[in-house]
Amino acid sequence: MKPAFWARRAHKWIGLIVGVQALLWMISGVYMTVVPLEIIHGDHLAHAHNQSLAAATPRIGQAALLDRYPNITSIKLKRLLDQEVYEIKQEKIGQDKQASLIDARSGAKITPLERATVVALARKAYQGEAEIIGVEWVTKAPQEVAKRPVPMWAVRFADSGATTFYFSPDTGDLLARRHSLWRWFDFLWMFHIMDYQERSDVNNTLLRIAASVGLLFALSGAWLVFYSFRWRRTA
Amino acid sequence: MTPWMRWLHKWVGLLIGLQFVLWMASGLMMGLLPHDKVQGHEFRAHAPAPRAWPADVLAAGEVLKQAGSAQVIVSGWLLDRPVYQALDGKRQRLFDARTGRAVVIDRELARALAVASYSGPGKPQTPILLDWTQEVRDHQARSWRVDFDDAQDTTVYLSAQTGEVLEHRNSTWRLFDVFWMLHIMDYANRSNFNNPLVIGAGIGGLWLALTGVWLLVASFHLREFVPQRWRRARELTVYAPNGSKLRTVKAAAGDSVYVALARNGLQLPSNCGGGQSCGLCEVRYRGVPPAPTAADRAHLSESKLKIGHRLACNLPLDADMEVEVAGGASLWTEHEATVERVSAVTPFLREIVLKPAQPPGPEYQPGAYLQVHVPDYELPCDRIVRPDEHHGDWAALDLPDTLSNREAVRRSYSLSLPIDATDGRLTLLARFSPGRQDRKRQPPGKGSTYLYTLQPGDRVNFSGPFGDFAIRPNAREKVFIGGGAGMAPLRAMIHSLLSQGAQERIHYWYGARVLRDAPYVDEMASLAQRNANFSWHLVLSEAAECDDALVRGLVHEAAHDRLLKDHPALLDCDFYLCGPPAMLAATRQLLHRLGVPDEQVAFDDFKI
Ligand SMILES: Cc1cc2nc3c(=O)[nH]c(=O)nc-3n(C[C@H](O)[C@H](O)[C@H](O)COP(=O)(O)OP(=O)(O)OC[C@H]3O[C@@H](n4cnc5c(N)ncnc54)[C@H](O)[C@@H]3O)c2cc1C
Ligand code: FES
Repeated sequence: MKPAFWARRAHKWIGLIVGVQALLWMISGVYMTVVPLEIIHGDHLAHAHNQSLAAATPRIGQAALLDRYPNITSIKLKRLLDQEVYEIKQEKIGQDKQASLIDARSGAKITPLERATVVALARKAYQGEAEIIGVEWVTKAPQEVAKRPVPMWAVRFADSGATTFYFSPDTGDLLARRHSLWRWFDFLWMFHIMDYQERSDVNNTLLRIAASVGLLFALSGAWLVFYSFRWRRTA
Repeated sequence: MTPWMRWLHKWVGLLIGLQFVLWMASGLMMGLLPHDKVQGHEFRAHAPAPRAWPADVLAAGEVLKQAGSAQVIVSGWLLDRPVYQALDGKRQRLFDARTGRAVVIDRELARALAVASYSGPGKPQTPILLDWTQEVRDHQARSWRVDFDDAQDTTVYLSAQTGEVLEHRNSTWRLFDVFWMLHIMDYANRSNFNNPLVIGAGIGGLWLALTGVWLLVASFHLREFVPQRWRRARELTVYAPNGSKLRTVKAAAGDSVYVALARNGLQLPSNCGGGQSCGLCEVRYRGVPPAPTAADRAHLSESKLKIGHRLACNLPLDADMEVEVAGGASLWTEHEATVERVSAVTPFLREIVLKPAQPPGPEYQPGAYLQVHVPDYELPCDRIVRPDEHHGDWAALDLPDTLSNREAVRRSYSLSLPIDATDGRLTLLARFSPGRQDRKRQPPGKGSTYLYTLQPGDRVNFSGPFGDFAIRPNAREKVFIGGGAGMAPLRAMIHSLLSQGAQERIHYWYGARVLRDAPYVDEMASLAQRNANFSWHLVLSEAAECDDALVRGLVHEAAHDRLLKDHPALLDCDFYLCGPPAMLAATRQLLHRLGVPDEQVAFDDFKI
């Protein structure tokens, strides 16, 4: 049999094995390249307006802080809305590391943050026009924020992308911005790397096998290209 | 649709095939390289356990005096030294938490910090201060680079502002990074996978995949998944058109009728070898035939489809089946013949007279064709016999030095004279297919080249006769329209009619390029002279003086203008057409427009 015959046959049968995956690779690949990464990250949805700290303003002293909140391992001075706060981490043996916010002026603990504060934070960060349609206290992280610590506040907006902001009740940080373009990206990424559980393991066996077969597929196709055109024969 | 998809698949494949290979190869490599190593976790020391923040340091707010402005101040440790980091926009600065003084990460400190974050066997080299490096491309400020002399060529990068460890890079990462670059096609910065190049290639790749899936679905049949010997045995019975049973063969379910017969040594007529592109392998399905496919429709007329004709290479044997094959009895036989005479009628039309080993029977009717078995050959170019008077014509062709045909094939050639006029000889008229002569050079045709090397005394094998292009037994007025090698069957038919004393009017319109290319001009003229009911019109598409027997133009147009247009009883005429595909198509269209019913138009398509 002629090589062209084998090339065609190989390409066809390998295609049967990985053809659909190749299509999924291309669909997901095109999506990921076409939609700019900044949009996926939601840079257009939320801004971190960081106001500067005031040079001179009454704050509780270092000693008072350490005194009132034992076992502090780290301190961060920052702003939360119009307030200056200390974000502290305390660690006790046998206990989880815990972050909390302390009002820098009074020294009072203000976390976990309340719904109203979170709504204010969300309003301030959000760049769109849409209204907030829901604020939820999340104790079991949904897939789209699986790697973020719970509990969290989820703030939903009535925009076309079904934007959701996730805030930490312990630090007031905007943990994640999710919207439909991001969700599609994540969904397609799952197909791209073929990790259907965690969507993050790029070393999974399935992917390795599929990619090996895919390589054979591409090579047999390239080989076939040589036969598919009527090359000029040298006399 | 499918041929179009195939075309698209092929060309897009040519354009981005290499990138497709690179995507697969780089994707595979990224999947194989262990993620932990790529991330530099291998020699990365564990983060130090959190320590109690000392009481004897400045309050965080105090740092503002030094820093001037900051949005965030955060505590941290520089080895054993408590420090504050002040973030001011993109700028990060480091202050000693005890003294409040700015801390500079110097070379010694950089080395110590790097060593602290490293757990491998290597020794640190002298740290180097860099303005920017591709290896930590997202870090837009200065960094310290500390190389370790381990087997992985680990490099630790630290922020020159804060002393934080940015990355551990190693040779695994560097390799990964090359694959990453190839994968996202950002050869300059290796970071932007939204670049136009990769988007363009990706869209091309998507086309490739979509058309590929289409082709996959179109080109697989369920039956292909079962090995032949596991498939059920089926019986295929072959009949002659007159209803007599010829033979029953065993076949595996799912094979096509064409393949099933071929496995039993019965080669149906075919120029394409079962590729659904020559249209010669037609059989008639006895019973209720399956719905015709696109390939059936492309080659067979609506009226034939209606009575059950199908392409055998496109007809799967799902159950026991009965088919009729025109000239079926000839399938079994391979005949032998000796070349008796060869004459160059025109430069590129050659008459070949064969004397068959067995005298031919009545099935060798005008309009029938033989399948000449063309063996594999490799011959020098000068084996093509060229008479002196045609030397100029041949010299104009750019033929290869060796003529070759790598595998045996079969080619169809029509009888060009009735056998009773030739004392049982088979007369063929073969046109030479020179291949393409322009820049995209093509070798000359396999079959015609073979015929053109034949000399008296050579042996030739063939099967046949085949075909259903035949004179209808009626006395209606007949119009023959032909061109090129289409002369062959039309000539046989006309000779046969006239010698049998047909009385109806017979017109023959034949088209050629120039007079030199037209065969049998004198023969036809003398037939016309001897038979009052026969008229002969030669139409030349290039250079011709116009007189009665010589018309300039395209043959179907000439026939239309001078005969058909004003014919009083057009619908009582029978038509016989044979010639190059373009001429054939144009003529059939013309007749269709004139309202001639399909049943009155017989034609033979040489496909060439
Ligand atoms: C029913 C029937 C009756 C026929 N009767 C006659 C007859 O009486 N007389 C006659 O002369 N012919 C007849 N033919 C046509 C004949 O069967 C052949 O098709 C013809 O001679 C060409 O065959 P070949 O082997 O020479 O060319 P092939 O090798 O089949 O090539 C066909 C054409 O394609 C070109 N070609 C080949 N390879 C390539 C390539 N890689 N890329 C691009 N082009 C390429 C060739 O140069 C040639 O022009 C008949 C056909 C049929 C179906
Ligand atoms: S063998 Fe050519 S069409 Fe069937």
